[in-house]
Amino acid sequence: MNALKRVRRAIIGPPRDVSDPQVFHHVSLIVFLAWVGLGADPLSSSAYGPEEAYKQLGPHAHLSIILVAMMAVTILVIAIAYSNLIQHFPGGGGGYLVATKLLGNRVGVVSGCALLVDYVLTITVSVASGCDQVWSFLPAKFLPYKFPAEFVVIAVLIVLNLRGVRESVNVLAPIFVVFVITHAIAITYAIATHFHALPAVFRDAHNDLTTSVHTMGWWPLILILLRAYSLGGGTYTGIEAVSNGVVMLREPRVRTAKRTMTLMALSLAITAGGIMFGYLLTNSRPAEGRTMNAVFLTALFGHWGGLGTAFVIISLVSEAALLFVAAQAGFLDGPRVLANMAVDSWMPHRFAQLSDRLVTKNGIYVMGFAAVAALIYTHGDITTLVVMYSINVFLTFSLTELGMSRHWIKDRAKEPRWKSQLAIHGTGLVMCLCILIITTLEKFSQGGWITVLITSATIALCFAIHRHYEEVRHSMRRLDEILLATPVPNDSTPSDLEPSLPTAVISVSSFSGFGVHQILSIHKSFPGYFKQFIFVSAAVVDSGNFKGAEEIGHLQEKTENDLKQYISWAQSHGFRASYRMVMGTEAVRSVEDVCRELAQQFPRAIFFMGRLIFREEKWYHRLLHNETPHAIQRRLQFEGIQAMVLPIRVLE
Amino acid sequence: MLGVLGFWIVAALLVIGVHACVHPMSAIDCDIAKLVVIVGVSFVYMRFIAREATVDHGLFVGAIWLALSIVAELATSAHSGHGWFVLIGSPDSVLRNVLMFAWIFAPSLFARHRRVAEE
Repeated sequence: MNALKRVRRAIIGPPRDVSDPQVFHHVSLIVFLAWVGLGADPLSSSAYGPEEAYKQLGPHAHLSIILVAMMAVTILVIAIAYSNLIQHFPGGGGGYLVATKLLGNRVGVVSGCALLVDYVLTITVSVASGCDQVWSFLPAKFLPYKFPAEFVVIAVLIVLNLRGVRESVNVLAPIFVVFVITHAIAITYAIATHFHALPAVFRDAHNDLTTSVHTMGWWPLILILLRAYSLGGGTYTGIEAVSNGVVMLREPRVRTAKRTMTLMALSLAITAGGIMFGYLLTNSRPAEGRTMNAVFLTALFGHWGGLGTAFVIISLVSEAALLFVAAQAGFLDGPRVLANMAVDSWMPHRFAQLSDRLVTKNGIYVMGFAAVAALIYTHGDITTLVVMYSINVFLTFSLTELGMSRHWIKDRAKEPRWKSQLAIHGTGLVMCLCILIITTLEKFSQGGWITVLITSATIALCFAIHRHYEEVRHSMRRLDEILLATPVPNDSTPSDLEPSLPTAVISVSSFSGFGVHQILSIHKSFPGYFKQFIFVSAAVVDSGNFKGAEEIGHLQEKTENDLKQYISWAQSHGFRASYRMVMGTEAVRSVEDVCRELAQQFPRAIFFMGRLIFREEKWYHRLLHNETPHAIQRRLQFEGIQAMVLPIRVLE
Repeated sequence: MLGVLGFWIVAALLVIGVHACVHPMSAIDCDIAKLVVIVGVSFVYMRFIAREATVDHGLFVGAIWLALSIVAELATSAHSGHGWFVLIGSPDSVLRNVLMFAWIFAPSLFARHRRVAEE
């Protein structure tokens, strides 16, 4: 291994073996790590969510007690709703899968695209907000370096995620723990030291409520509360992360996911509610150039001298660092949604491919580069980013809740618990719609429009991609109908191969007209030359089937059955035939290895691969269809092995 | 790692040299010349030193180069007492984004060893 490979191994790590039954155990997350990896996103939103809601109350700060209750109920309802969702969809997929299954493909794409944009913005918001926190400790002259530092953080997170899910979470776990401990101490201390003042706080809240009702009436007061509640909606973002990432959790996955969800909901409700209640207890008021959390922590520990200052700094630095950890949710779940959409042909298929570290590498790059683009567009302005972010989150939440509500109404005859479930999802739907509508109307001109525009453009792109894949599929179906309907003679030839005979080695995927077309093309080009065939297929483990040892087993079985069908087909036409199967995450490398071995065993072998040919080659064909055949051909030819690519026409 | 550090030093020195020579004449030409220098050094590093490097490695090298540039600018600014933006470009210039992109992504542009996926 040369020096570069050693560096690469050190940074990215050695390749993983997908056929190893222990591989899922090694890459999956236990409850605690899942809480760190997926819980950091919602928990970190307590750095800006409660502050935004509290500021909206203006002079009615005492009403924040009602907001704390509303916040806790909302977290509870959304968490219960998503726990039910995990139970119903143990294969994961979150908002995209739920909307697809329960509301139809088209609504599913809307939900999926909203989620994708949401995860890109999760990365941008978290990194920008984290750097804001760090830079608030630095002198003003260092401010010009904040923006480049945000670039570096995103690049480092990309590299970290290319190592693998579990490794990236392990690195970030200590930051999460420090955040939880410091904030738990701060909230407990705030309540304990103001315990004697609690009756007065509740009395003042009651007085504030009564006075406000008398002076303004009920409706304006309700509107003030609803506005503060909606604009603090950033607090609830990220709760859905567990349902999207169920497949990366340790078995039994549903139990692990539910426990993670419980931990996440409890920690978020206590932290966000506790912080907002703490503002009220310490009488914290917004201050220029300082976050509300900084004001709150200084009010609590500022009089402790050096120790207090150190605690405030540690708490705020952990808050900043947690925001970087929160960006992880975007890198963990974004590529997964992208992969699910790629499996369903809404996105280019290559997004479903796994790297040798079993991560969806292309998805990680896309999320990272899109986050950088969002950063450049907004110049890291948190206010604009949070608005853009909240709209998409609540669009997905609303569609998910709508889907689940529809499901319980439709299946009420079969489900005895339908009334209680409908109550939960219906309440969730009303809450999410309320936040979505108020945020969109209030903030449309302040960045809301760009989210709507980008999400709509992504949806349009998905439909265009899907249409193209459908056209190709239709053409391939016609090929299947024509070629697989060819009558098969009954006489069979023994399968023993003779190494000295001319051999055609054909790279195939599933048993289809595409593969049969390759055999017929070989016959047409080399009439009577080849007496024996070897079919080579790679069982490619991608994001769609990397869900457990059972799924890998099914993939292996299916690939083997397809190859056996080719053998039967060839033997029934009087040819000697055999097959080779290989398993891996990358078709090119896997097939290349097998072909190299075969070239040694069968010196007169020629290798064939089929490739789709369009009447008019378009620039986007290279993005939507891979160059696998050419890549294999290039590599084999470089080794001195004869390899040919056979064109298969796509009739549009 | 020495190669990564060494080539950053070479790139940084060349960028400083370009700044000293070209900036007095034209700020935009200076930024373009810096861009050429960064891309050129990336080309040499990726094609002659890290010959089999993947995009991952290129990105990692780019992130380190930008981080080192930020640290160098911060240290020089702190030492001199005024803003020093020679390596990443002036915060007022639109080309600053382009230069940041160049530091991070230029090495990845020359990654040779690309793996191709199958559908």
